Amino acid sequence: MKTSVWVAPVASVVVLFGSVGIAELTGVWEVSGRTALVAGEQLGVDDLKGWMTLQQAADGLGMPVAELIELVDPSGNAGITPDTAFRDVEDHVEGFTISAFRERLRR
Amino acid sequence: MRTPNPTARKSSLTRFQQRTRRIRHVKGARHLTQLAVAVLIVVAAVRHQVEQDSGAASVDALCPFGAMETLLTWLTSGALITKIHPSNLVLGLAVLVATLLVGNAFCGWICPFGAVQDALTWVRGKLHLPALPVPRGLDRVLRWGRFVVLAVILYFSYTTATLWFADYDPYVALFGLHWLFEPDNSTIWIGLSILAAVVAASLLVERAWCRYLCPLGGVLSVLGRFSLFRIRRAPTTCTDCSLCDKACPVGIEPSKAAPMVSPDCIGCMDCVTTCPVRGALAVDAPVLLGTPIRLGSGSEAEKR
Ligand code: SF4
Ligand code: SF4
Repeated sequence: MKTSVWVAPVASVVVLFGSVGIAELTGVWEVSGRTALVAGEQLGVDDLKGWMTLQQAADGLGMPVAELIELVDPSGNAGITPDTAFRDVEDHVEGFTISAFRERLRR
Repeated sequence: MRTPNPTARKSSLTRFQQRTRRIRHVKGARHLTQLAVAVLIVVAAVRHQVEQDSGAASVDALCPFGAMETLLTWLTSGALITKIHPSNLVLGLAVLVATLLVGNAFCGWICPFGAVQDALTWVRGKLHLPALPVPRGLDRVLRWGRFVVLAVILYFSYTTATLWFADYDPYVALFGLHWLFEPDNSTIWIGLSILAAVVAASLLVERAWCRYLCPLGGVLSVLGRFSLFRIRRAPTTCTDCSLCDKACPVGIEPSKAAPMVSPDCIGCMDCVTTCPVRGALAVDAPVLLGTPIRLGSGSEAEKR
């Protein structure tokens, strides 16, 4: 059966944006792993995320931030500060990945 | 005063005028849709960069291909790879469903990187640059490049459990706007170099990235085989004028379709609107694995 040239594009746009709408209404639409940090809340090693600053991580882990910076950058040459986010550490400290860092903290 | 009757006005147009108007309408709607989606993505990227602590979506989180990149990890461990979120799964599923239902119109109408390549073709036209002809045999071989890229990405995404392709992805390099907000970040240069190569290639060959390298395009071309809607050529009506071949942005030859056009079709509909012979090319449905299902007594295209 011959159909209109508009069916495929219109249906594609409707399915795509309709899915986003349904996902938003049902709470499935999550675009970021970022969650609100509650002051004083204890964090586990697995809760560390790339977007967290070292200060936030140190507060959550209950350790001095200077100690955490030393663990992240033992040479002290990378210019890491308490406000540096883990994902930026990856750009400044060669070979640093947050998953490997979690493993180190676990041990 | 009498108001003009649109039906009467339409019938007063010659067949040529009607066809030109239809081409203009479909092309116009397509480019508007592409532009709207591209603007949405740019706005999201700016928000992500400016409101760093708000949890605004990154361009990675708004790409349906993310669902493919995390698929193996998700199936084997139930976890998502880094920088991939449920939004990727939602978009991936939506594109899968849409493609199985009506074919791959995502690439022709929605993908912002496809839109950029269409814009480059427009620039080439304005600059009167010649298009680089790709011999058929070479074109067929190069199209396998999409699956090579796909296999490499799936392997490294799974083994590293990270969004490995992000550093190389020309879509992220352009729409992520890191070049604007973090020009000092040394990791962006690989992606920008690949983007520059893709831009140069797309100026020579229309939608070069889509044809030969895009891994999502490869996945959608496989799914397109199972679509319920396909563009079908009526061999007895077609006059082999090959005007449709010239209109096709991804170098498919609808004039040689026997009878369904290639699943590499991106659903732009330019061939159907360009065809001057009524009924020679039409969107046919329902189609099961490339074979039209006849619910009544033959398709309209055949009856004409
Ligand atoms: S082939 Fe890839 S880049 Fe091209 S339009 Fe499709 S998804 Fe976008
Ligand atoms: S075959 Fe037709 S609808 Fe498909 S991409 Fe080519 S011109 Fe567009």
